[in-house]
Amino acid sequence: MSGINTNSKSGRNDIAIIQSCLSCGETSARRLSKSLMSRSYAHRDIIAHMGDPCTHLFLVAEGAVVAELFGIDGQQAQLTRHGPGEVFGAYPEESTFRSAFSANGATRLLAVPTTKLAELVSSDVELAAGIANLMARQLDLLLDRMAARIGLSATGRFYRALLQLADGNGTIRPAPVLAAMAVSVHTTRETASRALAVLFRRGIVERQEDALKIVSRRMLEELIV
Amino acid sequence: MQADALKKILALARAGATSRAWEAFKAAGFDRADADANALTLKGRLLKDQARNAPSHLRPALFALAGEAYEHAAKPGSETYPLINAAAMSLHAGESERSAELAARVLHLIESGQEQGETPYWGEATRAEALLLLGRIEDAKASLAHAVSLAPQAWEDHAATLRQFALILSELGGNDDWLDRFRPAPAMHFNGILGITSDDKAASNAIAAEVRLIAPGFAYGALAAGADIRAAEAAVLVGAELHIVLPSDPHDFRKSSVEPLGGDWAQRFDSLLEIADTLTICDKAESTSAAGVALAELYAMGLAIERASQLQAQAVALRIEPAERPILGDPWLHSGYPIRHVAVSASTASVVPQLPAGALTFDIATDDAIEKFASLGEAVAALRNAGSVRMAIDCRLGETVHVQALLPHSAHGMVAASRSAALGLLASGLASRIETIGELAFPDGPVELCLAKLSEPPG
Repeated sequence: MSGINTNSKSGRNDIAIIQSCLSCGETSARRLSKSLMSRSYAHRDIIAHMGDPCTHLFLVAEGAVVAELFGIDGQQAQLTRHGPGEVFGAYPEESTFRSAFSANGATRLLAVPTTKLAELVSSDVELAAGIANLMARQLDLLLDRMAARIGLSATGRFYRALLQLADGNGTIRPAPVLAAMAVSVHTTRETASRALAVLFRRGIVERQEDALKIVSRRMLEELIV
Repeated sequence: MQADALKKILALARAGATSRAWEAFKAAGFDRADADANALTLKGRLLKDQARNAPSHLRPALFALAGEAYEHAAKPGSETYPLINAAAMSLHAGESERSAELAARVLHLIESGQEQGETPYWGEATRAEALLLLGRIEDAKASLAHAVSLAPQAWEDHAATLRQFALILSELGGNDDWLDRFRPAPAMHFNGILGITSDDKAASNAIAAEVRLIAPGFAYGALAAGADIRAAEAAVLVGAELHIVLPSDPHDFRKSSVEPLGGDWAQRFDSLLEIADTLTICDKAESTSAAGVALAELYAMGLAIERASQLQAQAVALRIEPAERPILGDPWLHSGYPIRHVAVSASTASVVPQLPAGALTFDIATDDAIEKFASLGEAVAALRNAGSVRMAIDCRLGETVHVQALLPHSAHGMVAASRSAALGLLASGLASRIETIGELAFPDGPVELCLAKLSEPPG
């Protein structure tokens, strides 16, 4: 595993995704990126079979991954689904896949070897805190799913994240990397892009040279549903 | 927490649950929050909704109370929004002098530069409303035209202004035809037969001509080879936003409903997907089936009607099919919106692929039972007959039943519905309004949740 090319546009996007999902600085994200590999799958591609050795932790960057179990009678049952910004696989130790995993729609994963990640986490406080936060958020998501709890819609989560990034004057500087922000609020780049386009169209947010400016905080708050 | 509570109440009001929203507002104690601008603004909105629904002799008093709430919500730096509403409420309450006084205050705040409005559009649109309330109709027209030019695509905001202006003009007894020039172009749902060859010039010209006549601003539909792709291409040519709704993953759909028809359809499908403004996939887990296609059609029709209603625009359906084909089964017929036809013939040489039937199931939940139905109409009839306080509805192509989890989010008279079921209700004329209230998390993926107000049953 040679790491992602951080000089390419997609590589820079991946660095931004790591920063956004782990709430860490660029230095830590670049350190992790050296051990990261981007893997793409077509709809319904098998990612792993049940019982396969699991030696990586995977972050869903695009698309979704479905975990399926086969019962004694051969019936297939969906165990869970991981969308953008969620992790699955092995951590802190290597293990085996407890179910089959397949791609749901065109899917891209960022994979890091479990042993390497554990090593990095033991020496980088930002990465350690980031992984802990990521796992805690995912536990919350899991509990939400068990309870079928109502939460914000995907656009609502995106708008809330925009508000959280803004300073007291409503400025977000530098302007966020959309793909990264989308992953951190568990949605697709397309959904985030459409949601932002609505704000520009209505004049609720303005583009500035290297920043976004929230023109009407009240109108943005009203869209958080 | 308070902001969240106010937002939930606003969602109820937007969904048309006027009484329920007011009950929730009072239960949370917001009706006594005399110093909270957000609560007071919402109070004004809720009282305004009540006034609109009230018998005529009760309306003036309710409008007056709404005006008071808006007036109290005004605070330095953000006065124009509540004050312009207070001015309009005073007019509806029969207090024209007070209305003019407040409108003049708003005009002064804007023209003196003390307040500029929340966005450039709203600053000028509020000025236009103040001019209208002062009876300066020609100035109001010019000001509204200027406001629209500042944000030509802020359709949701234009729609709010148009609604407000129509109400004011009805009170003033003025003609409101001039508002039509500010309405966005129609939202069109397109749907037609497969089996038109890719080089059929006559069909192509006929479809393009009809789309030019409709001049849609927004086009919704699937992209099966034949009529769908031609309609989508024609819509793009007239500058419409293209919103694609597919029953299954694009890869599956292309294989089942595009590639088998040959010609250059597959390339045209890819090109349209590339430029589409949005792509909605009803169920990625399922392969393309006839049931999935039916769900995608309902979904796309619902989106077109929802968009038209949000933007104060027209909704229209385009049907491209043989002249002799019966249309009685088209859900759009029940929506109350027009259908336009283009008569075409399928090529005898085309081999139209047979899709697996699949199953589209409508689940309903009430306080007493969970039931499933094969048609949306039957499901809604069962909901109405149940007379339950809480009601929920979902539709699905797969086996997993979610409807029970939706039930706790139902409110008095309002049905908790998954977004796909809610759009189906809207498309079939079975719901008059739907409002998204959030997302429910399930192991097999999130489900967007709506509140739907069922239409009055016929007769």
